[in-house]
Order: sequence, then C-alpha cells, then structure tokens
Amino acid sequence: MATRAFSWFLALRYLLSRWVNVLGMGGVALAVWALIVVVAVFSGFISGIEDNTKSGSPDLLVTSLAPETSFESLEATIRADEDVVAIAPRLRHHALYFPIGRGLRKIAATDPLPISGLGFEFVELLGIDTEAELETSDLSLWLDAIPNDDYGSRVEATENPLSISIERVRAARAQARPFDRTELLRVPPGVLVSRDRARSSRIDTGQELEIVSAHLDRSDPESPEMRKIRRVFVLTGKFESGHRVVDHTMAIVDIEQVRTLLGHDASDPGSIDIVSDVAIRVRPGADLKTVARRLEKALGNDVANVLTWREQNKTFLDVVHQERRMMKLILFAVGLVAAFLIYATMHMMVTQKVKDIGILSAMGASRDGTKHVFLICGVTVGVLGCVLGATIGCLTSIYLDEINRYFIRGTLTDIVNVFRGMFGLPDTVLSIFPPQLYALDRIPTVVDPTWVSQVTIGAFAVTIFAAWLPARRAARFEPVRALGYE
Amino acid sequence: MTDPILSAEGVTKTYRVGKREIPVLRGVDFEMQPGEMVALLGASGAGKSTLLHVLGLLDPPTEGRVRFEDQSVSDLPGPKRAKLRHREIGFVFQFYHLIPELTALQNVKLGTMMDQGPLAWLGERKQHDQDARALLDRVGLTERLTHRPDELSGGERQRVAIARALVANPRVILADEPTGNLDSSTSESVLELLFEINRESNIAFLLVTHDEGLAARCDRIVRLRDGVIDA
Ligand SMILES: Nc1ncnc2c1ncn2[C@@H]1O[C@H](COP(=O)(O)OP(=O)(O)OP(=O)(O)O)[C@@H](O)[C@H]1O
Ligand SMILES: [Mg+2]
Repeated sequence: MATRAFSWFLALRYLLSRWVNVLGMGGVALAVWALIVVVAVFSGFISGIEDNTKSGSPDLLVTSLAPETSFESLEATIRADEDVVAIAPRLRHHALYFPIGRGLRKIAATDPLPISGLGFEFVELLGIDTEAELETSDLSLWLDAIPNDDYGSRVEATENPLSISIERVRAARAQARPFDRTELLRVPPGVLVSRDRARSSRIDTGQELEIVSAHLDRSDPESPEMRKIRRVFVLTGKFESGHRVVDHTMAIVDIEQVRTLLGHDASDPGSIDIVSDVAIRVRPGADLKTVARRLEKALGNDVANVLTWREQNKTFLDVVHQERRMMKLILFAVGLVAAFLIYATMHMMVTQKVKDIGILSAMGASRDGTKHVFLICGVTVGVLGCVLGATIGCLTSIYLDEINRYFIRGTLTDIVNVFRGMFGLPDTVLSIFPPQLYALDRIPTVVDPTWVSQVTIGAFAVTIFAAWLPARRAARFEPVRALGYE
Repeated sequence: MTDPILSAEGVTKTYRVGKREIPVLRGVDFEMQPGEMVALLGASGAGKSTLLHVLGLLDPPTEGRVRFEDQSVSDLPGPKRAKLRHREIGFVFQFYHLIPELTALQNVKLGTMMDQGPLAWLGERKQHDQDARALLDRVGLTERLTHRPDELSGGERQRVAIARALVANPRVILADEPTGNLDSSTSESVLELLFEINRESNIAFLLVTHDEGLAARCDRIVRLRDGVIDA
C-alpha cells in the first residue's frame, strides 16, 4: 500500500481544520479508557473475592460422605497421596441458637434482617480438630483478622477453648503420653462466631448461647429415631475469614462437642470419630484438580466427592466472573458507539469533500490515493484515541486509590462543600468507592497487560473499519460527477 | 507538420439517463500539435466540457480512443491514466476548483505530491517549494502566497489554478471556460497570461470559450456541433 505525499498532506489539513474529529477521538479514548478502568476495578474485586474465598476454603475438601463415616476409615488413604501435606477432620451440623437471658432486641436499620424472626438464629456448627485445622486451613488468619481495637474483643488465647485444646495436645506430647481426646470434653464448651455475626446478633464474648438441634439416631437401624439436641455454649471469641458464606453461617466449635451432640461421645467405648468432611492442604504447586480426581479414585468414586476450593465455591465464583463478562459486553457496546462516531464524522467529511475528490482526480490522483486521504484521517483519529485512552486508562487504574483519596474525597469534596456552605447544606464526603461499604482499605485494581492490549488493538481494528467504509465511498465517486457536485 | 501530441479518434460519448440514451459526442476526430493554441467553440450543451474530460482522461469515451503522442491511452488501467494525467495534462476550470482548506502556495504545491511517496517528497521539499513560489510569482501572486481561496478575488483564484496546472510541467493544458466567471478586464489579464505562457513554453492549450473574439486570437478554431467537430 504505497501512499502518495498528497494523501498525508491533505489528511493532516482536513483534520486540523475540523474540530469535530476531536469528538471521534474523544469517543474512542473514552471507550478504551472505560474498558480498561472498569475491568481493572472488577478484576481487582474478583481477585480480592477469590483471595478471601480461597482463604475461607481448604485447598481440597472431601465431602458428600455417608452418615456415620469415621475419620479413621479415610485417613490412611488420604495421607497416602504424595501431594497431601496435611488433613483435618470436620463435622458440620445445622442448629439454631438464641442468647440466654436476653429479651426482645431492637433491630437497627443498618442490621441485616435476622434469619429467624422468633429470636432464634440459624447456624451451621463447624466442628474442627483445632490442631489439625491450624495445619490445614487459614484458621489462624481468621482469628488474627480481628484487629486489636475491634471493640476491644480480640480473641484472647487463654479464653479460646480451641487454644486450650491445642495446649492440652501439646502438653500430652511434651510428656510423651498418648493424648486422650476425652480430655477435651472437660474443656467448657466454647463457640466462635464471626465478628459480623456477633455484631448483628448484638452478642459479645462471655454470652451464653443455647444451641438447639436434632439428629437421626441410627443406633437401632430398624427404626431410626429423631432426637432433640440441646446444649449451652459460651461465646469465647470471634473470627473473620472474609468468606461471606463462612462468616455468615458458620459457628466454630470443637469437633468432639459435635460428635457428642450426635451421640458419639468420646468417653463412650462404642463411639466412632464421625466426620462429614475432610479438609486437605496440598503441596504448593500441585495441580489441585489432578489431586482431587486422584483422591476420589483412591477413596472409591461412590464414597466421596473431592472438591477444589474453586469447586467448593463454584456458583458464587461463576456469578462474579459472569458479572465481569456482562460488564465487558456493555462496555463493548460503548466501543461500538465510538466507532459509529468515527464513521459518522468521516462520512460527513467525505460528503463535504466530494468536489475535492474530483479536483484530486483531475490533478492526477488515483482512486487509491483518494481513498488513502480519508483512511489516514480516520486511522489517525483512531490511533490517537486508542493511545490516549489506553494511557489514561492505565494511569487511572493504577492510581485510582490516590485519585479517589486526594482528589475526589479531598479537593473536589472541599469545592463542593464550599457550595454546600453557601446554600446551608450539610457537609458530605464524595467518594467513588466508600470504604465503609466494602470493608477494604484500598480500591483493588488489577491491570492485566493482555486485556489492555486486546482492548487497544480491538478498538484500533474497529476504528480502521469505521474509517475504511467512508474512504471506500470516496474512492468510488466518478471524477467528472464529483467535479460537478454542489 | 509534426506528430500530434493529443488526439481523438472516432470518440463518441453517450450518457444514459434511465432508459434514455443521450448521445453527446457522435464521432469526434481531433488532433493537437505541441505548443498549439486551439479554441473550442460550440453552443451551450454541445458537449465541449464532455470532450475536454474525455481528452483529459477523466472520463472514458463510449467508443473510439484517445491517443497521447503515439500511445493509445483511453484504455489504460486507472492508475496509469492517473499518472499520465498528472505528468502531461493540466486542467483549468471555470469555477477554479481550489481546495478551500489550503493556501495559494499549498494548493500549487499539492500538484507536486501526486506521484511521490511522502518521504521522497519531503526529501525534495525545498525544490518543490521553490517551484511553486516561482510559478505563483510568474502568475503575479507573490503577495498572496498564504491566502486561502476565500481570501482571493476571482481573477486571483484563477491565477492560482493556472499555476497549479503548470506545476507538474505538463505538455497539454485543457482550460474549460477559464474566464467564464470573470469580468471583462480581469478576463483579459488572465487570458493575456495564458497566451504569454503559451508563447514562452511548448505547452499546447485547448481553450473552451463562447467568445468568438477570443477564439480568433488563437492559432486554430474548432467547432463542436451535433456531436462532431466541423472544421
Ligand atoms: N453525467 C451526465 N449524465 C447525463 N447527461 C449529461 C451528463 N453530463 C453531461 N450531460 C449532457 O451532455 C450534454 C453536454 O454537456 P457539456 O457539459 O459537455 O456541455 P458544454 O458544451 O460544456 O456546455 P456549456 O457551454 O454550457 O458548458 C448536455 O446536454 C448535458 O446535459
Ligand atoms: Mg461546459
């Protein structure tokens, strides 16, 4: 595609004498900018959400076990896998609780609606073997996530029953005697709930909670019987996993407490160490899916499902990713609008310049030369728009937090407040990202170079096409008719 | 007589408007010698502009052919015709047809950019600039180099157009009523310029006009009537 000097010269002159082209350029820049910034913020949120989700879930979870499955029956098979680093038994059971000695409580407008309207709240008791769990999941992080100044109620090591059980396990080891799990039953039954839950239920450490549930007693297989469970626990601490489902539904207790509730008291010789799930930590770098499928096979396919942390949270993560895809689609439409804008301005320019097309032919321009004039115009507008949009987009994404902090919540708010002052309106803080709404101290952004280049190149291709159509039209005018065109 | 520089052989041109055929040229035979000044006369609508466009390779003939020197050129492919139009033929129109965004100097310089790539052109831009300035000087517009067309009078615009037609050193200039839009004294000075250029150079002129007096001052007169040249 050899171009002639006049195509460049005229394209430049046409562009400089038509400010409407700034509109096309701005449109492209805006679209590219939006595609980069919005996706960067979305990706930041997704990666934050994924980090929280990952932290709230074990690498692998053996689940869908038959009732009354003993940990012993699984342990050896799971530990035999070369990629398994640590495992921990878990026993989940649904329950209701209500705070003892508390009457009707008023719900503040900011509180979530309680799960039960009758003063009971629904929880899923998560029974854990503290020592094993500390090796296997991010439990210690969940406990540490509570800042010291959070209502002065940080989990105290001494009053945390789970810590006490660890101490006893360690003491037993130090004395080189086998640890007797029945010791744990002498620990006061303690329970941990998430900080959010404690806040919305208005309960604090030391509060007694009556926990009520039921279970199907299968000791007589001929006629299984429904048994009521009832026990008082003491709220001894709080945790925060960052995983919404865990934080909203789980109450952590010692696994032996749940076993006892379900009729398997460790002091009873006929009892078994029942589990509902087994959490597994896998060697870093191992492919989780491969290990999961391998374990399923080793355990026997109809015995258990082994889910990776992604699979455990599939529905939720799918929704988040789906939202990002929707966002991209919407923004893609913005890009199309920008392309239409370029098409419209170029089409208008060709229409204004029909006579010039005739003049150029008379002067010895070929059809290609004429086409190039308009193509160069459109491509220049497109390139400038793309480069401008990509540059500002990347900068905005990287410095979004600072922009928000210093400009929007700083200078701009000050300016707005001056006007508010003039009209006697209350002061407010403007923010594109109110931190109290998301419990994050920074706006998370992830600038993905692949996405940035995809957007830029894609937008560029679309603008070339939008410029090429009018340019082709310009080349198709018959010179003599173009000369006579008014 | 030397060999003709530009000639038409049995050129016809028929326009179709809907189903109706409008024969405008019905077999034109015509020759121009190098350096010759020819006047083309004919009633309005006779087809003078049409013939000029066909001779200038802007419009293909329906039948017949156009020769440049001894080469048949009307059937050349588009880019070749464009190149020939650029190198050998200059057009001057009744309504000037300058590009409104460009100054007088830029309009003339544009005529040097048709054939060269941008870098090659930039390499010789001093030469191109000098040529364009010299030509504008020649047509008497030394003081108007940076004026845009809407800042120039009709006569001045036509002088710019003449300079532009000359800048690529063509051997033929086709002028379609170059003074048709000018008052009589301005016309006279523009015509004087054309005659001077013709005398100084070896450029052949085909001058379309309605003015018998003007035609009489040319080397030769051809008349277009009923779609043919009658001598
Ligand atoms: N594109 C076209 N389609 C149909 N008819 C056309 C077209 N161009 C020219 N004509 C017709 O061809 C005839 C000759 O037109 P042309 O412009 O060559 O006349 P002319 O001799 O230059 O007249 P004038 O002295 O008024 O300029 C006219 O009748 C015109 O209507
Ligand atoms: Mg005419």
